[in-house]
Amino acid sequence: MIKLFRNPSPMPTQKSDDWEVADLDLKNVVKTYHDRRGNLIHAVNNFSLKIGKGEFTTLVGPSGCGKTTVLRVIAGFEIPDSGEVLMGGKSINSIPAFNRNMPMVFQSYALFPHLSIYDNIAYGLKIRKVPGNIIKNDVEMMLQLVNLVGMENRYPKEISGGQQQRVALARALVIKPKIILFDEPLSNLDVKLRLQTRMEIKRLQNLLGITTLYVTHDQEEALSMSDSIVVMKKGKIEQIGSPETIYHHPKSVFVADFIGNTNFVEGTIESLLDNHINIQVKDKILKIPKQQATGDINQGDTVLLGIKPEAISILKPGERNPNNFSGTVRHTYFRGTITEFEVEFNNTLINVILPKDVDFQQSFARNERICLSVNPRAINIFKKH
Amino acid sequence: MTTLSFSNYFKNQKITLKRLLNEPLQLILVLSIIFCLGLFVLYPLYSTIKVSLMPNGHFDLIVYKTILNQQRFKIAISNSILLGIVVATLGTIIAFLFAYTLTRIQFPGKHFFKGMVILPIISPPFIFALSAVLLLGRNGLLTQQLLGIENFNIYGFKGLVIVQTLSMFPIGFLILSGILQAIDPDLETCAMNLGAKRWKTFTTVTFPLALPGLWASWLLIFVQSLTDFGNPLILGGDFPVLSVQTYLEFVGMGNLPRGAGLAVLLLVPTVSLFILQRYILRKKSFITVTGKSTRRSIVSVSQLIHVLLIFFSILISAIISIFYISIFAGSFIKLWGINWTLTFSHYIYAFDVGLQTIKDTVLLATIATPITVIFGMVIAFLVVRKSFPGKNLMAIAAVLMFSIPGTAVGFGYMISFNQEPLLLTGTMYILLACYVFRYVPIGIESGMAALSQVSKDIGESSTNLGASSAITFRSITLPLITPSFISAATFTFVKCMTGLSAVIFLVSASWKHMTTLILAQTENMLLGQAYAMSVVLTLIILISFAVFKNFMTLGQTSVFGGISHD
Repeated sequence: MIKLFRNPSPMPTQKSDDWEVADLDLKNVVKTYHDRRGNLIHAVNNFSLKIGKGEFTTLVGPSGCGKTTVLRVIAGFEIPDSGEVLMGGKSINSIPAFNRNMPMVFQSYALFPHLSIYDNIAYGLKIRKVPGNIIKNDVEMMLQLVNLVGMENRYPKEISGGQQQRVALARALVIKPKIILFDEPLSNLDVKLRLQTRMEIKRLQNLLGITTLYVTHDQEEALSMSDSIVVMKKGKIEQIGSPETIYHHPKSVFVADFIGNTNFVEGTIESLLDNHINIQVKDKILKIPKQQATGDINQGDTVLLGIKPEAISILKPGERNPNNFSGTVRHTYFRGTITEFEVEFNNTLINVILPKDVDFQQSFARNERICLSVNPRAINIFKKH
Repeated sequence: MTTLSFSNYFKNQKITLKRLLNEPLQLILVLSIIFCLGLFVLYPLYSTIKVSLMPNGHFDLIVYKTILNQQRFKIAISNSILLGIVVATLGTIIAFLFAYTLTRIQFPGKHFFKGMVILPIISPPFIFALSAVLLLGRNGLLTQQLLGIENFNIYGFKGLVIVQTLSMFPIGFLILSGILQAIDPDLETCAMNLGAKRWKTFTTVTFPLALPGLWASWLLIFVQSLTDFGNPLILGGDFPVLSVQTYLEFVGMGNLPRGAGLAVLLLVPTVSLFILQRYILRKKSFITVTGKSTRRSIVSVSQLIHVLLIFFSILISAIISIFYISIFAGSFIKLWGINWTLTFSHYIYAFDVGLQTIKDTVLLATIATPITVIFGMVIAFLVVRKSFPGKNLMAIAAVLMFSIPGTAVGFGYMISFNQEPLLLTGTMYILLACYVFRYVPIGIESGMAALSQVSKDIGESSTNLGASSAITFRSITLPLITPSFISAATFTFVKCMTGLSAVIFLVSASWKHMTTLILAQTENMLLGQAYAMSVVLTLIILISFAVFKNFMTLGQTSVFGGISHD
């Protein structure tokens, strides 16, 4: 095993022993402010969250849901109205931002325009009065780690957006942070670079095992990178869970809608059985396992069925499935490995995603009537309010 | 406005007030700035207006009635407006052609041409009038010596148009070259791509997009011409203009109320144009400077126009150089047009008489410059990053002075601070106050620029890498704002060194200014001495440029190092 830092080897694969990470615990954090009209706004409302050592946690939610405020409270840029932030079990409420040792990677990267790449990365070490030779060694390691060797004498304006982003990352990592914070770091990159950098960040996080809090509004980013996802809505936690839980078992219409392009179809509870719920959708009865229902539902309730696009398949001629319904193809989008269809059913457009099937011709004419089947175990039932 | 939004407004004001009270230091700062602006910006204005409206201690419009009835004042008013319109139109045309040539056509020596255009901006305001006398006057080199025209009359309308156009088109050039650079070349390419020929592209895309800039340039030159004082005083002849009449009314006739009335008349168009520009033109501007496109425009004009434009630029630059060279030459020649012997006597005389004046001028400018810039930057910081009641009013009061003609400022200061407890006339403080409050908009402008350099993210990113606010200020904020600070300081220093119209009311036996001395020498027909003094003044400015640039190298190479290669 080769260790990162204090080590002359070419490729670091593990962090050194003097690099400690910490866990993070937020207890009932409240942060309010006044908007321009003087109304009181709860940016973060009674927010509690535990992040274990080395865990990658992502805050997602629509803009204005308070995710960035949470990040800024943790970093110490905002003082919470009430509640506590604990790091390694100790309250850090009274520790000023510059003593928290939790660097943030900004959406704008916030590189210092008057310093070279080298000096940008060395900045935190110089502040900590680390001896010159160690700074040199550590910065060079970092340059290697983020693949920027040879760029150290350039200025931020002279390198591309992706490279700037990696400098920001290196600058944060070089001070051996106990926790690292990301504030929508990839939203200024183009799609291809975003995917690359996403993998890069995940690789480094896996490699170094640093406790990470990541803020994004991109669901794919959240799903692919995180150990756990926190979905936020209006300053509160809507749901916490692993990417799989959030994706397959959303607790609310809000979560289901935000994650995974869910289709919603209205239905009525026809009857509640021991293991199943029979739901009437139009003139069909769907039989759905009881654990797919969230909250308290009774016979006669109107419910929304959340159906993920990939849970729907197209019935081949001769195939039979009790949970089937027919619709009209309105649009087809060929996307290589998958094909996306918009099918009109019950006056709403439903998204259907099918993997490419080499044996089966998957093209349909516009306005062609087709028969769809749905996997009942992939339907979530939400009570309609 | 409904009652609801009223109550919301007050609620909002109450909250911002509360926030202000939480930070006592900031409160004191805001209050003292408001006090200073009230005393040194609004009070002199108020005094001037009051004197003109209450000449005998009670409200009376007699002053304005006299002004508007007497033939000589009527002529002065219409002369000023006529001159302004002609100079603004000519100046804007030259500025646009020059700016278009320098931004759209590739040819060698561009830096030289840019330098030639900047020169008039940094020189004493009446230097063209002085050299016009040398070149085109009764004993002028061109008119009398070379062309043999006897009694060519440069004094009056013609001469003023020439010198004002030459000295004022550079302001228009700065605005227009900024705008032309900001027009995304893709737009022009796109127009051609959609089938527009070159001329069509110009008339349908480039010109309309530059129109707000043309308006701004026209208005700015118009105001400059209207408020210009040095050139008409020297070259006016029998062509009286408003700014000179204001001064003469006070100095020659000792008629304070009428001088005040003329100052107010001068103030009306400039302040209304200021408001017009602030509220109408700003909204109409289509250009958003994204700083993204670094591509050069590929749309070039046809070969013939190309050559014509370059020729035009060379011609204008050549004329400017001839004016400067003649001043320089004139300072070494015994008696221009009559005795062409070379001599140092003008310089010896200039230093004999003027050494103390040179010292005063440089000293005052040196003291005023840092105060002005720091004051401006503090105001900019408060206005941009903080919120408190009366903020907008403070911002307007702070930049208002830039739109008030120097003559009115000087007049206002003179009558406002001439008795206890505000007895400042005759001291250096009245000059310093005049400099600081007249030029504080430069500091504010640079403060805004500096703040855009130092985004909130950058400061925070330094903080969470472990830097305390003191370290962040020293290692991040300071280096980043230094370039804007230095460039504002350079500009302020030049303004303090060359300002004439306000200063002429405020100089005294103990505190003199080089520009007023040059003017006095010109009036007394000590032309050689005036030229020598002008050369000295220009040299001091050029030296100060070198000094400031030296200061800047540290900040500049690192901040702007990145731009060098594109």
